[in-house]
Amino acid sequence: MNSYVPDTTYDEMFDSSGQARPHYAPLKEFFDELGADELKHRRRAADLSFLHQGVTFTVYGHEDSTEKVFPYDIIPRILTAREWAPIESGLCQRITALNLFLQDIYSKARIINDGVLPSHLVLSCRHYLRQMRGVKVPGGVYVSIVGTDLVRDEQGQFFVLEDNLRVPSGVSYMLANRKVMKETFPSLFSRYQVRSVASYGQALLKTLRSLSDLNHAEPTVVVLTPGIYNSAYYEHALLAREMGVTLVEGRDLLVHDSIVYMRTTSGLKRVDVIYRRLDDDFLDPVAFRPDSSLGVPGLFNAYRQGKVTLANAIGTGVADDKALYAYVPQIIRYYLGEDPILPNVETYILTNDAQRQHVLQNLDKLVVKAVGESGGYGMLIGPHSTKKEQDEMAEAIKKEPRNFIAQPTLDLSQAPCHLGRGLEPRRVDLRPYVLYGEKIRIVPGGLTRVALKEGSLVVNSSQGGGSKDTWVLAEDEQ
Amino acid sequence: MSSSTMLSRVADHLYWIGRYLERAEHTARVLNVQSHSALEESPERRRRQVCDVLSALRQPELNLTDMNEAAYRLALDPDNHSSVRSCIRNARENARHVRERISSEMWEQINKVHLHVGGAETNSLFQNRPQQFYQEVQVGIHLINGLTDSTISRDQAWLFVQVGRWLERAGLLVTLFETYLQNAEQKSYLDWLGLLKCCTAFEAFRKKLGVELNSLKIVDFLILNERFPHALHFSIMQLRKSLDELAAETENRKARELHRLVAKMHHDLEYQRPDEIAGTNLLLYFDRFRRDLQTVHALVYRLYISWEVEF
Repeated sequence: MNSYVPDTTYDEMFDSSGQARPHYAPLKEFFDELGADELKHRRRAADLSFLHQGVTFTVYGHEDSTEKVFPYDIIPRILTAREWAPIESGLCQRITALNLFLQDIYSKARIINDGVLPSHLVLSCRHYLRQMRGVKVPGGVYVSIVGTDLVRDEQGQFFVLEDNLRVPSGVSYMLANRKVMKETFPSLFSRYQVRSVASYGQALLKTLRSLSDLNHAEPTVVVLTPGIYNSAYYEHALLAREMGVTLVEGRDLLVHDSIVYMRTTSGLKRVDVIYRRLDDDFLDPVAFRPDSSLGVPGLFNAYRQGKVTLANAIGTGVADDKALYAYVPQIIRYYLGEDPILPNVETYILTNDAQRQHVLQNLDKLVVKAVGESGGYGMLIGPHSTKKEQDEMAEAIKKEPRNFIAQPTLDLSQAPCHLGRGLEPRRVDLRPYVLYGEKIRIVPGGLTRVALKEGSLVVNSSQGGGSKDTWVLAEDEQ
Repeated sequence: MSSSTMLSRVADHLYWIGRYLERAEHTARVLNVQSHSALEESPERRRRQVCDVLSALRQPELNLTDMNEAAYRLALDPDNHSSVRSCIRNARENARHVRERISSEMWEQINKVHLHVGGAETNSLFQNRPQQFYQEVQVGIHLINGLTDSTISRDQAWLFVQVGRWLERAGLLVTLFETYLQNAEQKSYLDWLGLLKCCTAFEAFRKKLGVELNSLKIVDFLILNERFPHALHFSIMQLRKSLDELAAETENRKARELHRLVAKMHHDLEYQRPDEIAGTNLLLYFDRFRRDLQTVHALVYRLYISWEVEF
C-alpha cells in the first residue's frame, strides 16, 4: 500500500494528508497484512470464480470471442452510513418527482402550461411518445426500476450525473461482485458490518407484483430479454433466477384478443407483468419499429387496454433525456415543493443562444454529450480531445443544438485499485438501484464503476470500464 | 408458479442439454476403449477397427484409416459437429439459454467442462495422454449428471433433461450394437470384450453371466437386461418413466399416442427372449427400433415444443 500516492482529486480511501480515512483503516490494515503474493493468489481465485460462473458481457464488433468476463477490481469501495443516508433520501425524492412528471407530461402537462418547462424541449425529445398520451398506467408508476449515476467532486460532495429511467443495467454485477468478494476475503468482512444486498431479487419481485392492476393474489411476472446475444443477457437470466420467474424472449409470447400469453409445455399461459429489458422501439413491431423481430406484435395494444403491465412503462426516456436533466431540480420543486437533496451537475442547454456561445468558446474545457446516446458513445471530453475533434463537435452542435448538452469536466473521485502492479488510483462513479412500486425500495449498495485506463474519466463498460464491490456500512465507527 | 410453468423453448434447450451431454460422454467412452485396445492389434485389424469405431459413432462418411486421426476428428475437431468438443459446446450453449432454469451448480460444472475441453492446452493433453483426456471428460460429465440429480427439483426441467438423455442413450446403443453385433460369427473374444467395455458393462456382465462370451449372452445382457444402466431395456424403461411423469406434470391430454408407442417398445424388451432377437434379422430389428425412437422425438416436439396454437 506504500506505492500509492493520491493526487489532487477526492480520494475515497485517503484524506489530503495521505492518511487512510477511518472507515478504510481496517481495510488498509488487512491488505498490508495480506502481502502482495497472497493478494495475487486471491485475485486468481476470484478471476476463476467469475469465469466459472459465466459472469460475462458481450462486446459488439468482436468476432473472435464475443463473451468477456466483466472487468472488476478486488478492492471494495466503502461508504459510511452517514454518506449513504443523503443518497438514499435524495434518490427517493428524485424518483418520486420524476414519476409525477411523467404522469403529468403524458396527461395534462401542467408543468408546461405553468411555464416551468419549455414545451419544445419535451416535444422535440426522441423518447417522448405521443402514443402514450392519455394511456392509464397502473398506479401512475411509470418508472419502477432506476439506476442513478452519482459522482463526487473535489470536496467529496455527491452529484447526480444521469438518471437511467429506461432499462438500467448492471445490478447483476453488484450481486456477482458481492458473492465473489465474500468468497475471496471472508475475513475482511468480519472486520466490518457490511449491509447485505442479497434481497434485491425479492425486492424486485415484490415491486413488480405490486404494479399489477389485477386482483390476482399472484400475478404472473416474466422477464423479457432480447436473447443471449444481448450484452446484458447474463443479467436478465440472473434476475429471472433470483425472482424465480420465467425468462422469455419475444418469440415465446403472443397476443390474442389483447391478452398476452406465453407458449408453455402445457399450452398457453397468461402473462400479467412484464419486466422488459427491451427498448421501447423494439417492443412491438406493429406500434413501433416494424423491423423489430425481438418484440411481440400487438403488445402495445394490450398494454394500452390495461391487460398487461410493463416495467418500466413505455415512454419514460423523455425524463432521462440529457437536456431535460438540467430541469430536474425545477421538476422536484414544482411537484414536491422541496429543494433537491442531491444536486445536479451544472448543465448547458445548447438551444439557448448565450449558453451555446459560451460552450462553443470553451470546448477544450467542457464535456459534450449527445442527448440520445448512452453507454459513453458520442461524447467529447474537452481536455482529452484534439482540435479536430473539437471542430467537428462545434459543427455538429451548430447543426443540431438540441442533440447535445455540455457540462464542466468533472474530476470524478478516485479509489485505489489492484491492477497487477500494486495499488493505483482510478476514477469511480456510483450507480445505486432504486425500486418504486407500492413503496420505494433501495438496496444498500450499488455498482461502483471504475475507469480502468489510467487517467480516464469514462467508466462505461463498453469503453473499458470495470466495477468494484460497493459496501454500505451498517453504522459508523466512533 | 414457475415450477409448473415451462416455456416450450426452454423445454427444447433442456432436452438438448440431456442429448448432447450423453453423446459427448458416449463418444469419449467408446474412443477410450477402442483406441486403447487398438494398440495391440495387427495393422489390418486396426484398420477394420477404425472403420467400426466410425460407424459405431455414426460417422462412417469420415472414411479414415488411421486411429489417431479418427480419434482427433471424433474427440476434438471443432468443425465436426458430433465431436466431443462440439457436443459439449452445444450443451453449454443450450444451458446458457436456460441459465435461470437450471441450478447454478449445474451451470458452473457445464461451463467448467466446456472451458476445459475447449481450451488450447487440451490439444496437447490429448496428444500426449489421450486416456487421461477421455477420463477427464467422462468424469466431468458424470459430475454434471450428479449435480443435475442432486440440485434440481424433480419437475419439468429435470424431466426434459432425462428424456433427452435416455432417448439419446437408446439411439447411441442401437448404433453401437448394430456395428458390433453384425456378422456375429466372425467376432472374437476381444471384440465382445471391447463391446462390453464400451458400455462399461464388463464387470456387471461377468457377475451376472460369467466369463464366457458369445452373441446370445451379449444380447441377453446389453439389450434385455432391465437393471443395467447401459442396456437398451433399462434406457427405454427410464425414457418411458420420464415421459409418463412429464405427461402427468404438464397435464397434457394429447400424450396418449406417445405413451402407447414407448410402452410398446418397453413391453417388447420386457417379454422377448435373447434367442428370438438373435434369431431374427438384426439389421431389420435395429432399423425398426431406430425409426421408433425418431417417432418418439417427433412426438415430443409435437406435444411440448413446437405445437400449433389453437383458439
